[in-house]
Amino acid sequence: MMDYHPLPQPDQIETRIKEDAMGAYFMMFATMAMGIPLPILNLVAAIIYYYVNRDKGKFVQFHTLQSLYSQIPVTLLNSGLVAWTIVNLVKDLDFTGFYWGYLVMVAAANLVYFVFSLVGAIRARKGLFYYFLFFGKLAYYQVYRIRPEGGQSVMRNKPPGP
Amino acid sequence: MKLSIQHQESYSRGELLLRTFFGWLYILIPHGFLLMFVGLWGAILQFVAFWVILFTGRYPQSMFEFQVGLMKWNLRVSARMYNVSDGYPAFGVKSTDEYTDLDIPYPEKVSRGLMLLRLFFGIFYVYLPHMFILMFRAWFVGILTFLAWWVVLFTAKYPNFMFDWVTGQIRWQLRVSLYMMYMTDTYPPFTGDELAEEV
Amino acid sequence: MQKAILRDLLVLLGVFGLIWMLFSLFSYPEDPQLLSIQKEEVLGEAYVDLILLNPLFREYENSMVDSAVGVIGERLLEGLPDTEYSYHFEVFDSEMINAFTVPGGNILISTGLIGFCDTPEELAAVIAHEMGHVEERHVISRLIKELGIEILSSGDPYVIGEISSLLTSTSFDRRQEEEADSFAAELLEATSIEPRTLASFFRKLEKEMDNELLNQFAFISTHPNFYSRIRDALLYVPGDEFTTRSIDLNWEEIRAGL
Repeated sequence: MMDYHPLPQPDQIETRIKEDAMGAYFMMFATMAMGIPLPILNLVAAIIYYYVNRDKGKFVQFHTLQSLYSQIPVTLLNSGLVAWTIVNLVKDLDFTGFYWGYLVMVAAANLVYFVFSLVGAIRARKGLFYYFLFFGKLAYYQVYRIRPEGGQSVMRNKPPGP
Repeated sequence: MKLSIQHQESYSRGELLLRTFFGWLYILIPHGFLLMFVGLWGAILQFVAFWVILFTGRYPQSMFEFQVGLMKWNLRVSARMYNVSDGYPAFGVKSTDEYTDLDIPYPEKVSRGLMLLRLFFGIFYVYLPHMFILMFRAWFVGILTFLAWWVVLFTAKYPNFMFDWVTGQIRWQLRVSLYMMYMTDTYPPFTGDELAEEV
Repeated sequence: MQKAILRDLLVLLGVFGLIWMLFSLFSYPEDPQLLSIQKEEVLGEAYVDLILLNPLFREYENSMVDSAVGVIGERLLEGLPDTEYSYHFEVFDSEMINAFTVPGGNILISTGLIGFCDTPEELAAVIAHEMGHVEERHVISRLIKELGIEILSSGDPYVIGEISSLLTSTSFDRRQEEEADSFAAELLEATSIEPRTLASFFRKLEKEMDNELLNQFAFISTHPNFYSRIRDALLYVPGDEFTTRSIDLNWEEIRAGL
């Protein structure tokens, strides 16, 4: 049975922390901010945001991690779509049924991600937790589980050779 | 806001010459390179901040402090390039400087209506008037900087009059930036002087 | 908790995988089986008539050339006993080195092309390639994809006129060209003609390209990717029992008569 740190309640969280947690969900706009259609920019922004805000407490860490983890598959799907499109155009190949199915799926994934991120941002601003499917539990598990003490390396020094 | 550059009693002539001939190499290139990336992050945060303000009416404090840190960094580098400060500018958005200081109060509320006004019409009622004047002022400051170079070379002192003009140029530009970046709701005054906002 | 995480992941993958599959299968169907071959031949006839009315593609009346082309055509058809098409070969008078396919098994060949071929086997290779486009129904599938089945089935003469103009400049995509090339190699082998002749033909064309103006070579502009196709054609190795049987024609005389 796993033990977890207790969750803070909204009235226990400073406004500033709530704002920082909300900011994580806005990293999905990085590409738009830069004006370049490069899907990986969103992921890079999310990673940077996570690192910058790492020591601001578990509440922030939970939200930034949830946003970061859910951004990864979206970036991969988008990059795949961009690559598939360019290859088809350059090599003059046909756009098969699989391509259109993929495009629809990627559009759906982006839409879902966008909506969930928006809800997540609003909830974070209110000091609430919000759990994405899969990513929510993953982030919670990583941030809030209590790790056993004494995790230091138990290597001891020894002189060289016989 | 309070921008202050210490007017030194005496300036180092050696550093003056070093900066003149090699400043591009050991100051501009390292700082410029890093500022490019940090500035990119700042641009992303600026974009995000706009939307957060639009929906909450508050500038996120962490992002605000980041932008201030970035401005301080730029100020440190600028002061050396104008030869109004000695010493090597520190790196980073959280660093401080012996000779320059910048203090921008955090606004508790940002007016959203004013923000939209700035977004759509800022070019007309802010940039055009201020940039027009600042352009001419910059030419004059350029001449002053050139003259000041010789004065420092021979007397190790930076004349008050010239120093105030240079500092004023930086201060004026910064006020316009702050207003356009939604970090203050006060319309920038048409002067580079310090106003009655000493802390 | 870990089990719950895994379960969530599977649900996520399942849902999006399902969306992908569902929409892949419901995409527009690509096969041109919507138009029957009989219909295609009727349309094709109308197109050919209109094309030959165009001064750029005037029909070339020369019994010697016509019968030579007929001989080559029949030789190739020996290798296609089960074809559903009844092929028609038309020669049109043009300096351009060009040949193109019109739906319904119609292949149009320019006098320029005939003159450019040094041997009847080379012309056979080009015709075999065009027959590949016919048998694989590339032209009709392209038309249906670009214009839609309604426009194609319309009997309106203006529409037919517009489509016939399109046909003279249709280009195929890379996959279709590769299919036609390999079809040609197989057909040539089946009729005892050296299957790599197509490569020699492309090589000649490519060499000429350096010398002549580009607009003589409409064939080239609609047939890109020269080098990879020469390479692929040369890679085709005929079976062990393959022997060549030359086409019985006085080619020099025929070319002189153009």
